Amino acid sequence: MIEGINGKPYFDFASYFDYEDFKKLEPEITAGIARCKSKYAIESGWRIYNPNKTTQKIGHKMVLESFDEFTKDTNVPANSLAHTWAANVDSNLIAKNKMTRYLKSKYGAYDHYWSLQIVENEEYSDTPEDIITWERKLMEFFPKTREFIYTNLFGKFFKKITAANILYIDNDGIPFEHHDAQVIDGKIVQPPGELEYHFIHFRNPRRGFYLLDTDTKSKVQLNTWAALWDTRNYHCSTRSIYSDWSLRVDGEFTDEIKNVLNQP
Amino acid sequence: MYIDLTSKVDTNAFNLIQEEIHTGIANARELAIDGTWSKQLVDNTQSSYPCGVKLLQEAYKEFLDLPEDSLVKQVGLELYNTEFNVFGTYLKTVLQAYDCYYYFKLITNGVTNLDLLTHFPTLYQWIEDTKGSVFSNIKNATIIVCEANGMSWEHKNLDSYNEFIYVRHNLQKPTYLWDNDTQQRTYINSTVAWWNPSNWQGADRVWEQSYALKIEGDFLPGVKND
Repeated sequence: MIEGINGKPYFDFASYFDYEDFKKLEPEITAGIARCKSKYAIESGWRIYNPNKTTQKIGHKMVLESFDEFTKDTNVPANSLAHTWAANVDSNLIAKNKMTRYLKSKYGAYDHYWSLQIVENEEYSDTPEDIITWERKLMEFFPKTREFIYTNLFGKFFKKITAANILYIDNDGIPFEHHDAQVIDGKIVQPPGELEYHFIHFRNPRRGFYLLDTDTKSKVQLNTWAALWDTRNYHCSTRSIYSDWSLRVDGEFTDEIKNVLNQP
Repeated sequence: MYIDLTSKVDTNAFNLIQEEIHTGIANARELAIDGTWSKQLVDNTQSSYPCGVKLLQEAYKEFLDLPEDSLVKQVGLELYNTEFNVFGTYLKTVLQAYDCYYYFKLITNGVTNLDLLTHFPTLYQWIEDTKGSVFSNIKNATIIVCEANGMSWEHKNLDSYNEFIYVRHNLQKPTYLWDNDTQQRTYINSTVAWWNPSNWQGADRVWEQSYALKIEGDFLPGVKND
């Protein structure tokens, strides 16, 4: 079953915005991706793939599987930099990025996603100083996009903005069907009738995007370029030879938007 | 179709520096050049399958044809002039070009890249050691990385040195020469090989990222004949 919003599978925000305004951000975002991809972007999500829930047959090795292989590999030289990166993957994004590249190069890990966090993330106030510097450097490449977020979204849609991520997928990259809901003891925890995440997802409509009903394996296409869905639902973009990007802005909706969405 | 030159180099020593190469690729990623900018001939009438994607060179021509007041062009020109190594990614993202390769230019026209030297010191020494057994001098050395599942279109290299060795750690990414007259592929079942660069060459897709090392220069007399 797809968990819907207001009786529909997803909420379409497109009529609230002018697509041409959004399109104007494309040169800055694409140049920013190019500049940051190998320097400041977070390379790959260390995702867990659940073959029982999805419709995809994955022929490749996920990053987490490769990391497991690395930890069991007794032939890695003691002086390899990989040991230092591995020890810091949970606390240092730079080390985690290097570990990801190493796992791709040596163990055949597969993940063609990059994410670029372009606003300060309030949820991580204990972030180490070098990572804050690293993240701030990245933000310098997206002034107009940040202005779009703080001028067009803050106040009107969100009373608080907690995150804004540009997601980039490389040529031929295979998107993974996944959900983003919090899981505790193997179960999704989310109060009934309440969205866990308040966000608007903007994307280029040339690439398809769908929600998956994991019971029936049927797909609902998102026929919009700006949407919100319940993140308990498995979702995915369609595969394409093109590289592509999307922008997801997270925060807390204003009371007006909550009323529209029938949210407490 | 190709010459197996594994006996000419120290493959055991090459195997021993794999850890340095893998960590170097991970650590020095921002020093790599995104995308394939070498001169290549691609001709769908001559290849075993149609290329079917927009290569960087095509996207670059499209980019140059954009009007001068186009924001895409203005931003792109700034990138081209100041950060050329990432310009390929820009063309991929903004003009839907296709390219799953990146390149570490270890040696260019005989000059060592000192930034890369710190990441691949033993590899540089290994390359240097091919002088005396394969090369009389070395012009270029490049690590060519192909992303997982990346397509390697069939092509002829137009700016390759005639004399080079193509070194791989394993044969996991099948690489071949294509003879359009006989409609035959000849797979290069050697980890160190030379072939005539006027041949069509290609490689199969594989799920894993892969790399090759190409060293160009002047062969010692008799290398090909031996």
